[in-house]
Amino acid sequence: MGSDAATAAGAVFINIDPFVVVALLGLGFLGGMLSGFIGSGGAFVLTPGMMNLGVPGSVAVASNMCHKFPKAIVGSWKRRKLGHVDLKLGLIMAVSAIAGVRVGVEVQNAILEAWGTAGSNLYISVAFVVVLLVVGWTMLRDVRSSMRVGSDDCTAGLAKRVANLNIPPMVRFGAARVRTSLWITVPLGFATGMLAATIAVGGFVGVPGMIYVIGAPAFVASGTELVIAVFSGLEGTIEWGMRGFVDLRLTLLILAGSLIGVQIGALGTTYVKQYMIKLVSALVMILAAVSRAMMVPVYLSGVGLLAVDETTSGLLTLLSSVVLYGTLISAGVLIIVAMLKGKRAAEEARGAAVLPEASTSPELVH
Amino acid sequence: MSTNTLDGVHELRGSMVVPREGTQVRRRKAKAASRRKVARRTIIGFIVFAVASAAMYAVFFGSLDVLMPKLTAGTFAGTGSVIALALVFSLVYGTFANYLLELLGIRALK
Repeated sequence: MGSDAATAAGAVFINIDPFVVVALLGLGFLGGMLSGFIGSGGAFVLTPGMMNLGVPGSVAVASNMCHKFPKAIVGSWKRRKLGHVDLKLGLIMAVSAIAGVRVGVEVQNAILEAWGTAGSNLYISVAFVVVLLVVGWTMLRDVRSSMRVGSDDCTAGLAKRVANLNIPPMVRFGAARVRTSLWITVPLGFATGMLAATIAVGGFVGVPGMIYVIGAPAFVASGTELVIAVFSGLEGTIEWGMRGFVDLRLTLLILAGSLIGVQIGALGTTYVKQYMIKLVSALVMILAAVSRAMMVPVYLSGVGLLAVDETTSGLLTLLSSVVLYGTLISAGVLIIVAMLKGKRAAEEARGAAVLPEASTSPELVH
Repeated sequence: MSTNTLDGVHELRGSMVVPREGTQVRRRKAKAASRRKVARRTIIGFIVFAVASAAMYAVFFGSLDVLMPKLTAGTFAGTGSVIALALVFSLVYGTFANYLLELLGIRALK
């Protein structure tokens, strides 16, 4: 289905054999399922998963951004109907996110030119390790406090303090039910775009930022992030595409798996408790960070900063793949089992509710 | 004893308004017919979009040698085509995925 080929811009595309096809379909399905389950940000396993298959980091990020924006269009449309989208907030943040994507792609290109593919892989992997550990750890703490308090609403006091900041121009966001300074939303959008161009997951900054800094409800934050993802994804596809880095074969194979997985994951959220969603997400994030961290010495050796022999390099690559794919498969099984259990419990509850009704109805009639 | 309800087919027994036997059967039949109609539509939709998706993927992956150099040339036409193809594939294949899950009976719980 094609061989390793260099594009006009010099990006190297991998050979796609039947094993890679199956791996990409599976990766798309599991990544999509997680994406639907968490609400956004499935690319945090898709980009590392593609890199583990030998795809250069920049091509993985570019192809992921291209796979993300059509899904975000459909997702944001559906969520808007449910009232989960603050269009004004989304569009304001999208403008600065576009600027963030441009800067992010420029930084990536500068690294590629100076350090080559190994340098770019190293930059993306380090960014992944830092972001995934911070977000995963924060989520785990959130789960612990949710379980202790017995409520899912653990909004930080930071949002209240930010709301009190009166730096004009102040903007009111109807659906998010907040009033905040434009000087808060603009940098947040910029960081979202910059992260999207770096690791293809802007939502890791955008969603927590909207919840903890702006004070938007969680469902509005994840819905609004989809609007930002449409624009940042489109801008990223244009920027990377003009440099010849988007591998449409990868995009379409990932889409084939993820469009089914994302719907199962989204339905799965209706079967389990909120803290369970956060717990699964946090554990997957931390294990994905561990998997990426294992590859750092390999990339350091690639740029000549560390001496790693071929056997160790091969072993680390294998271990990294085992950890990532093992985590993904376990999370997928966990979600499906939770769905089946939830469905059975709901059916039993429905049966129990019908029984007394059936036994009392004749008395009511006669 | 009958009572004047909207459809005029209810009767009053004690303090309860209960539909007559015939009405219940008619309603059950209408519900079953509507369910059959939805199932038929789902199956037809599934087949149409499955064929369309398979054809799209076959055409794309069958002509990679011609398409890939153009799509990765770094031109406006190439990038525009990448965006258009990603959108069309998502729309057609996404609709197929919807029908597939409907056929499998996977629905939201609440």
